[in-house]
Amino acid sequence: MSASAKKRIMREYTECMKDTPAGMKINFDEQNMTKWEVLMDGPEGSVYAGGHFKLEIIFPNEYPFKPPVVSFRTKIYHPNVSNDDKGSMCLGLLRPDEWKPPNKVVAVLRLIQSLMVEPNIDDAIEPSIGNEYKENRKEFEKSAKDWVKRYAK
Amino acid sequence: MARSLATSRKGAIPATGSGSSSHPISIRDSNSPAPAVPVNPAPPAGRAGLRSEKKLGKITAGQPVTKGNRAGKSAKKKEPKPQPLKKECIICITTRQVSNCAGRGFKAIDGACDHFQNTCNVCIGKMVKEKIIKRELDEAVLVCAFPDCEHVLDYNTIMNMIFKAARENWDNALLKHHFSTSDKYVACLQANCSRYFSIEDCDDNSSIFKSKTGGGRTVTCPYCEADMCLECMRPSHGTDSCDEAKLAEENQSLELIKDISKPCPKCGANIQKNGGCNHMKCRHCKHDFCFSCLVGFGPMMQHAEACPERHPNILQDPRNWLPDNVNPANWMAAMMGDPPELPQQAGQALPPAVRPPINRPPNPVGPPQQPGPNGLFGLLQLMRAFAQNPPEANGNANGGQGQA
Repeated sequence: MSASAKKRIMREYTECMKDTPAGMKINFDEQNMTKWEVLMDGPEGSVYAGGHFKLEIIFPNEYPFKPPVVSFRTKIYHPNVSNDDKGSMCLGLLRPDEWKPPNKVVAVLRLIQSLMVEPNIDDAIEPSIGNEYKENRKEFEKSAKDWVKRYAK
Repeated sequence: MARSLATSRKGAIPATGSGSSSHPISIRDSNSPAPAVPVNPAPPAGRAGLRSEKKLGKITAGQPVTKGNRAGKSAKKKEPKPQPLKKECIICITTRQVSNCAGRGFKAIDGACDHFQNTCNVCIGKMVKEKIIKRELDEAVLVCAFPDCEHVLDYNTIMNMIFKAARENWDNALLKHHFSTSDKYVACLQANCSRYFSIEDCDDNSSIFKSKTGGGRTVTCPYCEADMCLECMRPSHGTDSCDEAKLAEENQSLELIKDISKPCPKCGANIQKNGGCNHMKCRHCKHDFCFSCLVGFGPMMQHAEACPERHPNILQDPRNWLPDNVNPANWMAAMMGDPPELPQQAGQALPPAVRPPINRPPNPVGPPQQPGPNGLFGLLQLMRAFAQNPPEANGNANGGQGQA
């Protein structure tokens, strides 16, 4: 990884520390700063409230010219998070063609928080969950809450 | 971290010479264009001096503050002495020199937005590289990536900023993209040439048209002199019409496909094998079959007789479930009146004709007590019983593969 990418990540970390979005904790390893571990609380008022989710942010070598890769390490019942062992997300500014170098990780974290409050159905990576969210909101909420109890406590 | 802190402290103490703590660079307003580069920058006194300059002359993007500068207030009133200007790139957070040439520093861009003014040439180069990778080559410009800023950096400005290698890469990519999307250029069909040439001025009288036979307009590559037909975009087909040439080419293709592929036994899709075992799954109809003999896979499949994959079915081999002290040949002969028929004939693969061991002879070892198990299920039961109560000596011809 280039020195400039490291500098940029370091700067973003200090900025994040100064102004961490609510309900979030960032574990940062100076030896391996390309991998951040974020502990995110389910936003109040959402179906994920009360859950604690572990996320992994991996910065590519070409950062900030390529987007960081975000994945949920805690299982979550969500249309925009892949329901496998990867728990990957690929939407909005995280998509390689939409990512722009001035974008910051804070924006990514805020995007994830807002997606937990309201999923993006048009860009669902799990269409069946997305469909359930649209057609049968009660069932979706039940499953999502159940998963929070089972995996995210 | 510790090292850079030490250098900054060291650099803050001396107050003489150019670029000292008493003469920090005053920060220009973000709206005004970048200040002109000093004509004759004073050479730094030494390594320590250079470092102190680096630290003190730093311009933080959009924030006119000199970090940890004790004399910041008084310095603003004084005229800054000429010295190499340095700025911090807002993209890569690296402090670089403001210079007027391409390469590593910052190049002053007249009339550009703040964001581009504070983006170093290296990052501009990397953005161009990303554009090439993403094939965004319709327009040779960079649009400011910051939200609500639509400023566009044009081709010439960018070319004056980035490295020579990046310039050439971008130029090549742009040119190739233009050629391939424009209908005024064609690429030579010869694999070892494939260069583009213009056909814009080619009317019927043009010398570039070698012949006008068979309804096709033939054009000759100016580089390798290979002929091609402009009507059907195929290699020149002489006096044949384009349709005939197309048919001939299609037939050739079909023959090649026949040579290198086999049709799926279920849906007929042509399948080529490029490695792996012979167990093939048709991508089209999901049918499982043996690529060698084309017999479908199933729980009791048997390959065709000539197939290299063929080996006696474990379940059909009486040696696998007969006790050791019984000779299979004798036993089968006694039971059926003929020797065991192994392996089976091709084509009878599913379901295999398993002979139920009816009227089993008394077995001294202790086989299952069910009288006359029938069919496959009975066989499995027998085998299971043997697995639980194995014969003493393991002399099975197939090494005891008969376990369920």
